[in-house]
Amino acid sequence: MARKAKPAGPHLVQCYHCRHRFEVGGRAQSTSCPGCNKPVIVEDLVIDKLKAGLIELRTCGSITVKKKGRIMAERIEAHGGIVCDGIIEAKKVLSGRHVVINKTATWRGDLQAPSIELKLGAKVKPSYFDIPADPQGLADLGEPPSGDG
Amino acid sequence: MAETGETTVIGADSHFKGELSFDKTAKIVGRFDGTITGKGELQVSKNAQCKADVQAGSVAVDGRVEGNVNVSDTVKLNGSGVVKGDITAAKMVVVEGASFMGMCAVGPEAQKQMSAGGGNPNKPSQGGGDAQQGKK
Repeated sequence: MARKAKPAGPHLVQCYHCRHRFEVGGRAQSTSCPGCNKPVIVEDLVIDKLKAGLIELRTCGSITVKKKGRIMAERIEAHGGIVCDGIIEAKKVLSGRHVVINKTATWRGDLQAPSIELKLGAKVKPSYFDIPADPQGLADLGEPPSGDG
Repeated sequence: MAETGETTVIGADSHFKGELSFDKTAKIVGRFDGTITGKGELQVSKNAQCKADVQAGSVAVDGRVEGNVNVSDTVKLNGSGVVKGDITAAKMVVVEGASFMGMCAVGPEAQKQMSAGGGNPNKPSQGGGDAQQGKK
C-alpha cells in the first residue's frame, strides 16, 4: 500500500468513529480523535496490489485503487473520495466525496456517495447505489487539499 | 441524435399514461407514466418526469426516471439526471452530478443474464433490490 504525498497545510477531518470534526496537519498519516480518543487514519491510501480479508478499511482521506489493485473488505469508508481502476469488492462502501469508477474497474458493493462518475467500460456487479446530496454531512468540510507536497 | 422525423416525442406540456413502443428514437420532454419498450434510444430531457419501467437499446437521462431500466447497450446519466430504480446495462456512464438510487448491474455478464431470460440480475432471490422499497 502506497501513500500519497500531501501538502503541509492543516485541514479539517471528521472522525469515522464518532463523527467529531477536528483539524490535522497536511502531512499527518494518523492521529487520535480528540472526541473519542480512538485512532484515526487521515492519509490518502493508494492500493496497488491485493488487499484481502479486511473487515474494514477506513480513512478520512481518499482511497485510490490502481489497475492491479484489489480490495476485498466488509466495509470501506473514505471521506476524501474513491478512485477505482482496479477491483473493489465489499459489502458496504461509503464515500464522503466524489467516486470515480474508471473503465478498467470492477465494482461490487453497496455504495453511498454524494456523486459518482462511472466511465464507459466499467463493470458493476449487482450493487445498491445510493447517491444522495450529502450522505454523512461531509460536503461542508471544504475541498480536500490538492497538489503534491 | 436522430432526425426529428424519426423521433417519437412526448412534448413538454404533455402527460402520457400507458405503454409506449418505439423502434428508432423516443424523447420524453413532458411527463410519462407506464411502460416503455423500444429497440432504439430513449432520451429523457432535463425537466421530464418518467415513471416507467424502461426496456430499450440505449437510454440518456437528463430528467427524472422512476422505475427499472433494462438496456441492451448504454445507459447515460447526465449531470442533471435522476434515476430511482434498478439499472441493468452492458455499459453505463454516470456523469458527476447525477443522482441514482437503486440496484445496478453493468457489464457483459449482467447483460447476458438479462438476455438469456435469467431475469433481472439485480433481483437474485427474493425479488429484492427494488429501489422504491428504499433499501438502506
